[in-house]
Amino acid sequence: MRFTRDITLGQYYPAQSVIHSLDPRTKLISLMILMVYMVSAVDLWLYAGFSIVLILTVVLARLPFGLVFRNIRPFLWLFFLTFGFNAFQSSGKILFQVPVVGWSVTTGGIERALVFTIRIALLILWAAVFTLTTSPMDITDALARLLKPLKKLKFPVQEFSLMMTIAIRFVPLLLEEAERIQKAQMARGARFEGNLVQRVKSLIPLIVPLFVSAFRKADELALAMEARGYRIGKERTSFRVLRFQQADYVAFVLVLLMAVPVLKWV
Amino acid sequence: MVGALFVCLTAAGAHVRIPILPVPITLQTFFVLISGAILGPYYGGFSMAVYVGLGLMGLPVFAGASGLAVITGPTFGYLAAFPFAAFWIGLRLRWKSSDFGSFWKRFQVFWEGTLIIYLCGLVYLYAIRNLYWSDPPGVSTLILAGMAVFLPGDLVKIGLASWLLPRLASLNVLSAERRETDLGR
Repeated sequence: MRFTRDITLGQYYPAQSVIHSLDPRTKLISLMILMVYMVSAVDLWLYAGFSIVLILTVVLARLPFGLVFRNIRPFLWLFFLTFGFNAFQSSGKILFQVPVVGWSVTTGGIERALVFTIRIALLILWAAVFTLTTSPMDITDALARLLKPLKKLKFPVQEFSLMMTIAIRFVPLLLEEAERIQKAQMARGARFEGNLVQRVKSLIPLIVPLFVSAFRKADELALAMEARGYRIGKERTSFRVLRFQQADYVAFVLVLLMAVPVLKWV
Repeated sequence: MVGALFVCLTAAGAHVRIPILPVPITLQTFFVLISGAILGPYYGGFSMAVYVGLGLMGLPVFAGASGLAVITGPTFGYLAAFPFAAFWIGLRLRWKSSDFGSFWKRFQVFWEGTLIIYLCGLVYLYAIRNLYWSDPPGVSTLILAGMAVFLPGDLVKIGLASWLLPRLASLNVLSAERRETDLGR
C-alpha cells in the first residue's frame, strides 16, 4: 500500500507566481478551451507554437520542468505506440522499408506521427500545469461557483462541494486507517497470500473493520456538524470569496487570441 | 457524510491490490458496487462523481496515475462510468425498498453495474484509439483487451460484494433518524 505524505495537496506545487494567483475559475475555463484547440488543430507548426506557449507558461508559473514533464512517464508507452502506428500509415516520399514485412516509413507518416504524439503530450502537460498550480480546495471552490447555475435544475451544488471538501480531508485518514488495520490483522496472524480463494477471503478482515470505522466517523461528523448549526439547503457564506482580477481578464484575452491561428489552419 | 466516507473507502480500495496474474485486482470497483447499494441511486452516484473528481484534481486516489491528465489516457472511460454504475445499482436495489433481495438478485444487479463500466470503458477506448491512431480497433480485439482480461477479477468482486452486502449494511452505526437526513447520508 502506497502512502504519500501531504496527500491533501495532491499534485499541487505551492509557489508565488502569476499563474498560481490567477482565479481558479480562469484556469479551469482556459484549460477547457486549450484542450479544444489541442484536439482540433492539425498543423505541425501550430503544435510547435503551442509547445512554446506551454514552456512559457511553465516558466511563468515557476514550476520545475522535471516536475511537469514527469507526468508524461505513465503515458510513455502510448507515445511509442502512437508514433509507430502513425509512421507506417500515410503516403508521401518513402524513407525506408522494414525488411521482412515490407512496411514503409514515409515523410507524410513521420509528420502525422509527430502531430499525434505532440497532441497527446500537450494535452497531458496542460492538464499537469493546471493541477500543479491549483490546490484541490481552490478547484473545489471554482467548481462550486461554476456549477451554481445548475442549482435551478435541482442539482445539489452545495452538497457537492461539501462532499468534496470532506473527502479531501478524510482520504488520508482512511488510507492510514486501512494500512493500520492491515498491519493489525497481520499481527493477529492474518495472511494476505495463498491461492485465489484464500486471498479473497483474506480481504474480509480488512473490509469489515474499514466499514465500521467509516460509518462511525460519518456518524461523529454528522453529529458535530449539526451541533455547530450546519443545515443542508441553507445558504452559507464562505471564508474566501473568488473575484476576477485584472490578470484574469488578460489571461482570457490571451487564450482566446490563440483561437486565431487554430481557425486559420483547421 | 457516509457518502463522503465512501469516496475515501473507494480511494483506499484502489490501493489494496491482490496480485493475481495476469491483471492485478484492486478493490476499487468493489466499493463502487457497494456504495450504490448502500447509499441508493442519488448519493451513490454522487459520491462516485466526487471520487472521480478528486482523482482528476490530482489527489492520489486512483490505482494508477492521478491528475487531470488521466482524461487523455485510454482507461478514463472505466472511471467515468463509476457514478453511472453506482446510480444504476442503487436504482435497482434500493429504490423504494430497504432490503437487498436474494444473493442471486444482488449478483445480477452488480453484474449489470459492471457491464455499464465495461461498456463506457470500451466506448472510450475506441474513441481514444480513433483520435490518437485514427485506427478504430475491431470489436473482438476491443473486447479481448478491454473486457476479457478484467472479467475473472470482476466476477470474484461481484461475488464477494453480493455475499458481504447485507453484513456490511448492518454495520451502519448511524441512528435510524439520522440515516434518513441529508447530512446523515
